Amino acid sequence: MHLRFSLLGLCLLLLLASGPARAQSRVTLSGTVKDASSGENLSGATIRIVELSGVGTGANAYGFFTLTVPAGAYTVEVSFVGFATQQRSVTASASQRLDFKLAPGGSELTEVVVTARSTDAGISKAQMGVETIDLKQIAKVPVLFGEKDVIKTLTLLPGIKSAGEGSSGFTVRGGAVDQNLILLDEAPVYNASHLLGFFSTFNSDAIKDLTVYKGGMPAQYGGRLSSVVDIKMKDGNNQQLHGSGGIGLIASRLALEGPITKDKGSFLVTARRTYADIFLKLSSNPTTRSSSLYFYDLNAKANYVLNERNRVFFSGYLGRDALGFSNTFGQSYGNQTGTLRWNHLFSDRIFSNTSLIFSKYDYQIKISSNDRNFTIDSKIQDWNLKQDFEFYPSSTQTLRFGGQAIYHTITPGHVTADASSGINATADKTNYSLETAAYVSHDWQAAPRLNFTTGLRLSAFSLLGPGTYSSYDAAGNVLAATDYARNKFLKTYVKLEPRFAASLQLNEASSVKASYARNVQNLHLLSNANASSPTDLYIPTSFNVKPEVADQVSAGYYRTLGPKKSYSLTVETYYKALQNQLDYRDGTQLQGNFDVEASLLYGTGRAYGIEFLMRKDVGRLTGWLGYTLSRSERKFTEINQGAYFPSRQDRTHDLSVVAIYQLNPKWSFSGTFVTSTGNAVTFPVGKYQIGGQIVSYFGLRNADRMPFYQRLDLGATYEKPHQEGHRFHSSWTFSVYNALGRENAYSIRFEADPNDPSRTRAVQTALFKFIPSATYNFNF
Amino acid sequence: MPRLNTQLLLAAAAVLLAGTGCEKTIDLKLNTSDSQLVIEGNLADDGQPCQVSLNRSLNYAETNNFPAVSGATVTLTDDTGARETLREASPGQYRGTTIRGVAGHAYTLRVETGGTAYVAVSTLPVVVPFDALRTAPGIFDTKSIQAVVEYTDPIGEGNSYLFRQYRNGRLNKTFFIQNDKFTDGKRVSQSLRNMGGGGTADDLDKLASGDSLRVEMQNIDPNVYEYFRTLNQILQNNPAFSTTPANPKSNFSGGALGYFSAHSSRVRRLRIP
Repeated sequence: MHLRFSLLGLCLLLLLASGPARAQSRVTLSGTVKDASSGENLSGATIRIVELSGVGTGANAYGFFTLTVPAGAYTVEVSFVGFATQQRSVTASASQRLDFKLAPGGSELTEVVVTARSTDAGISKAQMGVETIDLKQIAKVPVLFGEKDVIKTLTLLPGIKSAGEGSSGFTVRGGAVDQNLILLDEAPVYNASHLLGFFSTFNSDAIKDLTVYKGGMPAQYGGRLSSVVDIKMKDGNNQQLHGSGGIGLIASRLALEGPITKDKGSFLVTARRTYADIFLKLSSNPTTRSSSLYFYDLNAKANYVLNERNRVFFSGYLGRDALGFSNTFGQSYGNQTGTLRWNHLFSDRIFSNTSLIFSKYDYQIKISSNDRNFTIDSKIQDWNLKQDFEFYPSSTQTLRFGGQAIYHTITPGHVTADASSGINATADKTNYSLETAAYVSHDWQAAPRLNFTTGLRLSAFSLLGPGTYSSYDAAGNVLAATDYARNKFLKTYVKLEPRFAASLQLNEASSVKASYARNVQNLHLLSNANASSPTDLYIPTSFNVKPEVADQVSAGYYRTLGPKKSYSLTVETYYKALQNQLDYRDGTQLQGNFDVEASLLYGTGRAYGIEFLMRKDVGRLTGWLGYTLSRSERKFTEINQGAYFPSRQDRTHDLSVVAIYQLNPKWSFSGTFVTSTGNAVTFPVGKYQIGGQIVSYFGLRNADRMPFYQRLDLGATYEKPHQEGHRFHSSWTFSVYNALGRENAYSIRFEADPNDPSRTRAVQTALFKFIPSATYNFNF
Repeated sequence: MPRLNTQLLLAAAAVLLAGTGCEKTIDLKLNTSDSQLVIEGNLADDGQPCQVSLNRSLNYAETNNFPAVSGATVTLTDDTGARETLREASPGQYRGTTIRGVAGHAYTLRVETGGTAYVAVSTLPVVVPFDALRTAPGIFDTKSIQAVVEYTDPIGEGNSYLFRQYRNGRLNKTFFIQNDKFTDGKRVSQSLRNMGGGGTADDLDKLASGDSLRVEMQNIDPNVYEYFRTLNQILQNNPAFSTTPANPKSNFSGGALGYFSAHSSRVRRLRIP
């Protein structure tokens, strides 16, 4: 309780800090910035007063802005990269509403703009460790099987690394795969992969943009240690009906968007499905014919402007993977999310958003062979209520505050079988928990070139009854098991998470920044396989499992270069200390393990590194070059005699280059080159014989390295010239994944040499080598 | 066990997707280690005395001539107070004479060599009858033939099994293990194919019509099951599911590799139709 009062006190303090109103009468200009052609919100658009140097603001996530200025006559200028800058003369004697609709393209028609972010914005704001990917930007980046993928593109940025070849898992600044909070229109997505991770769950047709926070997370975000990946779905065109689609090697896509009422409301529906299983039907083998292997996903969104003060949104996602083998085996898994949002303006300076969010991930496995028929079910489900306020006391300050409550229901895999089955049913060990948080965050332009963001997040996690929980000795043996009743608070952890960021603009073109952030995580993913497996297990913080905590400090230098500011350079360095990290005892089997806490080990970790990013966002040639030098280590008493060892995601060097060249209006070419140090792994240090089989002898954990990784992908896009008066446009995208054909080690196994039984050998498996693809895209 | 089925299919899907996947032998410079003592001790209820083999590990790049450990003092005791010292029948191979394996009794094997003692205890479990042996077509490859074992698991968790399969008198080196975690008290009819770990894809796996098939069913104690389960984890080595590898959980104290198992032995034979 004491803590809550402190928080309240802080809110008041921050409000007072905004200063008493000055004598001169002040007026508030507020409104929205939208794309004139589609009605999409232009979040991040810059609004400035031409006559008042340094007075300006940015449109928020819903395109809303508010600016408080002394009464007077002004020119309001609204700009956004890729759109024609608009100026409007305003005689501001009283507060007024100003809505802007920007036309795409503008005077820069000849230049191809691939980013939606002004390069200047990164210089002036205190926020650091943030990267944004615009969907237009990734459209031309070559990818595996030609399937556009925001998550795969994300891993081309410094500090963000793919968990492995063909994996949708990624690690950020030395964190684990489960330490990323992936939000789709605010709903957490628990398993962001399709088909073992070869594809991510995000259909790029439905997505507007993606923002990733690698450090210095704003206080409104919490729940994971490493990063927040905030993915926003398109709102849908509120001007006219449009459709788009694509036919690719693996999947086909279709999207439809249009107005519900012109200018007031719109909808978007997208669908995607793979068709590998259609080829299975052509097989001569009856077992293959009766097998299934597919995934699909559906995205839907609708929004409606009720009046100038109220707007409502609905977004939904449904995705499913299915694998089936004859009638003997079937597995399906997928995510479902739904978000209901209500934007409300309490006044022209107080913006509110209320969200009710549902999120679920589940899998089901059905086996029917011989006399062993059984089903394994598992799910993780959230109900989430979130309230956010944005208050703009003056043109130099923004105050954000709000709260959130999430009710988690987690059912680890359990077996159901009838009495005739050769398999016994197992107990349903569903557990319940409540995660709550309150936050306040204050953006303050203390001086024209000095910005501060100060935030505090108070998070609490409560394990709820009913449930049975055990205590363990140091070796993992159960000491006692206790049953708890329904609706009881069994154990509550309360944590304070301070967040702080500051930026100092050195001159027009450069700035330095520093930040500190503490993050807490209460859901933990247990996975011990290379590939992301749909049966990976989520466990909550409990009596034994403590909340994971990360403290990160970072500092950075930002600069725009070139005559037209066409280049931007970012250098960031960070140090992260991790507490209450999880690992497993040797030989732990996670699947079908009903007492998984007995197998857990608790330790600490540290990660540090430096990241360089040079971007070019305008001109014929666009793209970026990213390089990361980093280390990520863990420390457990039970592993490697308690010494620090490299975590699996530790990669010393990591380089990626992305280039897109627009040759002419018809043709553009692209290339991606990545190379990095191999992952830390454990190779044998000896061998011996058991029962006539050669067995590897292992020494220290992660003391070896996979061979270095290297890949070049190439792509070309042909856009059919526009025909006057026709709305139908089409394009072809061609790509080659791993064009150099380098055999990158996916795994290395050690075995007896079949040609010489007196020897052993190391065999490397490589997955993808020279994979061409072609995709046909259209829109109307 | 439900896990293995899942993995098989996921692996199949991975292979399907990775049509262009390829394998090659590579040269790796591996770290070396001090030579480790490896103990394999078995005492069955088949009337034969205890057999223990002692040898040492090698560095990975060396030829597979695992040095035998001679001159060790190997003693076996049981929970009735009986005690014997095993004699070295051939270099590194030690044999008992008097003590026989009897269900329900605990046996302690002590190996002393190079000034260090290594001790393991194993209890010969209650014997579960080996009801039947038959063959059935494989689930994934319906043309293949698999051995199917049948038994009724006694009520009460902890029963653990190890099956050894011989084709035309030759041992398939795969350790087919099973326990009753999901099948406690059930009549079990289990194809050996899905339980395996390690082994090689040589002809010992490929049963054919006309073969003589022999399967030995061992009741093993839960610690020995844990040993073979963790051993199989590193022998399986499925690329998509390779976990962080670790040495198997030995039941020997003192840091030796290997195991000591007091187990039952029941054998069934058939000629594959």
